[in-house]
Amino acid sequence: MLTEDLREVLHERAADVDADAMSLLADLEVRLSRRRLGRPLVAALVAAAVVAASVVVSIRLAGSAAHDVSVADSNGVPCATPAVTPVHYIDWACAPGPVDAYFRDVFDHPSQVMSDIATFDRDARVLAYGDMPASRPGGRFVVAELWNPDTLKTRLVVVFTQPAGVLPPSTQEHLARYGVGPNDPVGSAGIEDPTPPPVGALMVVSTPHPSTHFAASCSAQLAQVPGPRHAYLAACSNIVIARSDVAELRLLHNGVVIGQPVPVRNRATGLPSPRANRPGWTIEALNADGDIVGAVPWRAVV
Amino acid sequence: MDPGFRDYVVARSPAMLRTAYLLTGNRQEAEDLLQEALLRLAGSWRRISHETTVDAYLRRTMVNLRTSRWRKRRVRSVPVSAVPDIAVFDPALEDLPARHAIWAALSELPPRMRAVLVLRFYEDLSEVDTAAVLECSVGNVKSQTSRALDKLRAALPERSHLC
Repeated sequence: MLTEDLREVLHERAADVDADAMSLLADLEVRLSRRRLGRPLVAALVAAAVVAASVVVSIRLAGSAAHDVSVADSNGVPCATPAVTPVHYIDWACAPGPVDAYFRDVFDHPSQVMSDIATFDRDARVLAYGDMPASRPGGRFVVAELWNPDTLKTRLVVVFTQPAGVLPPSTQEHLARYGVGPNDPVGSAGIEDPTPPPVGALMVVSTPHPSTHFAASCSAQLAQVPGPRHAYLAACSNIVIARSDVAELRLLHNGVVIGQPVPVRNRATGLPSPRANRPGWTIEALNADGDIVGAVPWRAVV
Repeated sequence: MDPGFRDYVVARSPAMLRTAYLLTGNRQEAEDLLQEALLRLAGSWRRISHETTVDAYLRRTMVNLRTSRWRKRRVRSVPVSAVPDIAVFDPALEDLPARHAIWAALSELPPRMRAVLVLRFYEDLSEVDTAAVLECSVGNVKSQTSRALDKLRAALPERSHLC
């Protein structure tokens, strides 16, 4: 009978589905964490900035599936991408924490980066790599998205080189905070804390140069990045990147609102300037209804 | 995550994934469908878990989500000029074309009809329970089942002599 055949077919097909409950649970936890943070399942555009030796690299990721990456310097000159030649003199300075340490452990020789970065973690994806623009001759970069199964979060990692002898002392001093020695012929810098970008409503990118002018350059660069994210200049050479549903930013100190909320349309936000490196400062993101949709600690580096 | 919800996911998600697969005919879509349904269940867990109908709630959510997606989807298939199949002969597979034909015919059914068949002939739910999952009358389940089987017979003329 047809119904009996149908029953057999259904059970046969269902039996072919190899289901791993723990894998399903892990995936569900990720989705739940994303939903709690109020973001759509499809990753929103992410913008990030990496600054070193007066070079700005802006990165645009069009969702987790479509790797639409554009990299440009502070003058808007696109970097060559992709390139397949080996990377030499590459250093790493990326997200603080286990990824950074992992890089240091794994890459015993810099030239391995190009191949290893895509294989040391099965969920790591190289998004772009190639030559830095002509303004930085000899420089190269790798942009990768890493999945950290321990924290269930995605990290952006940017690794790039600088030719020797081009770093001014002030920049070298700053890069030392990232673990780059003053006599190291390689310069690099990383995203301050890229963990929230795919998740939260806000991200603060710290620039290594204690200059508002420099931060303004970063902000202007990021503002050119299309998509549902906007970058805004804030105080202390930091940049705030806000999701498109963020209407206002406000600064808090130990839970107390300082000043008035600032519309995010104003790139030079005029947020009160917190004292650098003192705890207790937070930036909150408000949507058009005044609801808090995100918050990040305000960590100045200067 | 609520411990009770976590336990439920571990215990029941494999079985529910199989149901989702039968509803969608595609592993990836099935995983998405199940995860979306579980997300909704998570939001209602405190209320639902006090009842004894968690499975029914999840099935109902999957069927509704599947139907909703099917309505929104404009392009359902991408025809290709050649398929990368290689012909083989195996006596054990002699009946395979017929089974494949049934599966293919099933994929052509509208989602509600497909759901009725999955719930009735895979989940072995009664007409009453199927009606509860689909939030419709028993009479509607009967008519949907009958019409779905008619469509299968029409798509499988070599089996049209069968009941």
